[in-house]
Amino acid sequence: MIRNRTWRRTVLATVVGADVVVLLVSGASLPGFLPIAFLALAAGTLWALARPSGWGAFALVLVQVGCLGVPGGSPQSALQWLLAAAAGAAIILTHLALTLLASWPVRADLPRATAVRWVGQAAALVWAAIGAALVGALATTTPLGWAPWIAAVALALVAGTVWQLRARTRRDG
Amino acid sequence: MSSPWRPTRALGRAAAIGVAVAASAAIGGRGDLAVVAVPLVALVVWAVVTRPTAAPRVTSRLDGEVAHEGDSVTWRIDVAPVPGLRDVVGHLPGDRWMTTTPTHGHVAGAVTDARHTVPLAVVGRSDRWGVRRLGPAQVGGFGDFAAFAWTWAEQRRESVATVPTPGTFTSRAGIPHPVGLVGQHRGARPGGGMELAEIRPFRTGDRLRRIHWPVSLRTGTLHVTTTYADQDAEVRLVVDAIRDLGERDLAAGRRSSLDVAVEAAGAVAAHYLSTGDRVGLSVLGGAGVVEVPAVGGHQQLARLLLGLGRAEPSRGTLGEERALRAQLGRSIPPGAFVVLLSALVSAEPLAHAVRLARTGHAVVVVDALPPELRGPEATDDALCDVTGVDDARLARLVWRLRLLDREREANRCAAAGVPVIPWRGAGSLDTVLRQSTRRARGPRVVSR
Repeated sequence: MIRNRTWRRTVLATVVGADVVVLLVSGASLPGFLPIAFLALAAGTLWALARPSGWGAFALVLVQVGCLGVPGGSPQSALQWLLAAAAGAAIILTHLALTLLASWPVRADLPRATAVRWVGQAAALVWAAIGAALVGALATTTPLGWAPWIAAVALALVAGTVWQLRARTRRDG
Repeated sequence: MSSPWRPTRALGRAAAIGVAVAASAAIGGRGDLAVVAVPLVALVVWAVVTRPTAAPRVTSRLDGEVAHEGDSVTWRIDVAPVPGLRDVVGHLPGDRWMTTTPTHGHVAGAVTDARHTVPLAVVGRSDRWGVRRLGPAQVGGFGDFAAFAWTWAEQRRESVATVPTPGTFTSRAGIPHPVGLVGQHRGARPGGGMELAEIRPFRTGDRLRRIHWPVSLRTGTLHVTTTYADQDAEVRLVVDAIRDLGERDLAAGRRSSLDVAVEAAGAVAAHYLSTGDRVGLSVLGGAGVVEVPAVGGHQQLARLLLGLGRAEPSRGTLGEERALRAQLGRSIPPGAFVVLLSALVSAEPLAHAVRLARTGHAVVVVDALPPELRGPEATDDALCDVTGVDDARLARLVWRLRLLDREREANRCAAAGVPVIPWRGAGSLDTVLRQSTRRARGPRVVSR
């Protein structure tokens, strides 16, 4: 078991860390937007952490998306795609951290098996963001004629993932 | 039939933001937003594909139904896993006198093997005698990413009967008029026993070993010694649990009136059972009818303590009032020694004691009111609690009047031949028992 104080601190640190990443990515696109982003993120974070099961969590994720979407444009370079992947990872981690805070009793300890599973699933979703960024980075340097083939590969990947998930669910059952 | 699993806000959040961002990315041709949308949409797809559908089966059990003060019991709730169930959380609280570990009662478990149940358990230590209640249990489960949640519809409660620890009590005085067969109390009739009754002329049927040779030689006719029979007695303990006055705080050395009464009743029962008497119990209060028939033997103490553990203050319902009247109307066998343990603030038990005394029973009332409530040193909080009056000055006045009333009722009891004594542990009853025994030897007027 992971003591409730330990896992809660870790989750809070994850949310704050994700805010910092979003802030940095936002600042890299448009430095002048930083003060507004900072204020919005600070307010959203306070609200979300105070009431993770309420609208605060929704607002924080929305603010994070807004901070990325408003100043940015479509990435062209590898560095911009890297920043987009970091931002995507930060947003999904924020969502997961707030979900854990909302669903788990405040004083309950976290079983180690639960923590391992959540970390594994979070890593899978972060890899999905990285994969999407990779595909995007490849797409910006790939001739347009390749688009149908790339789409077919992407569909095959999605189908394979769904098939794997269903197979695993049946095996668990 | 609808599924017992409900989508959570987290799923709604991921779906709404994921779809909205994906749409914005597609419309605006924004690759960075697409990168943000992909994991959110993937999460939703993953959670929906692996969502659980069946309700888990839950069983609840306690590892013991009876405990002693200070004993611990484990309350265990097992949740049988279903496909898609990942985590189980629960809140298993104890009552005021049950210290649970963990203290807050929040516990959690994870499904690690689909063949094994997920146990949720709290250990509760019973800090006070009586029926200790656990619950209501609140149990829930989650699927992947806590996207679907299930709540156990039943809010299970469990209870543990906590047996009180009897106090210490000894008595060297006999019981006024024992009517049993064989025991340790001097009976009123002659028979085989230890205490000399008289020396009288020999009669046919007297045993030769009873001949008292010095008197026979001096008088010239055979004389024999006779003894009083040693008999056992029936002791009936009546615990007045109609009201529980005072606050239990063992750290400060404070106990409530019911604590004192229960401890005293346990001590008296243990003593008289050890001397071979039959001890019965009636609890007048709010826990239904608690009646333990008068029997001797080692097992009887456990039965009596279990009965005492069920004592609860009355809630003033009509059913309780009827049960009290029925209990007070029950006959008590002739010759039984009645010990009423009461805080002397309810009229019915005292009237019952006087009625019993008038029908020839030996009755003693033990005052169980805690000492800190008898004098002026009672705290304002305690008096407000006892009287139910919020204003401390008014509460003190009300309680003073109640004490005067109580004193008057105790005096009336004493005038009717029912002594009222405070509980002081060992030897508490000796003085009044000796007085009663002396009185019992004389002629009596009995109203029937």
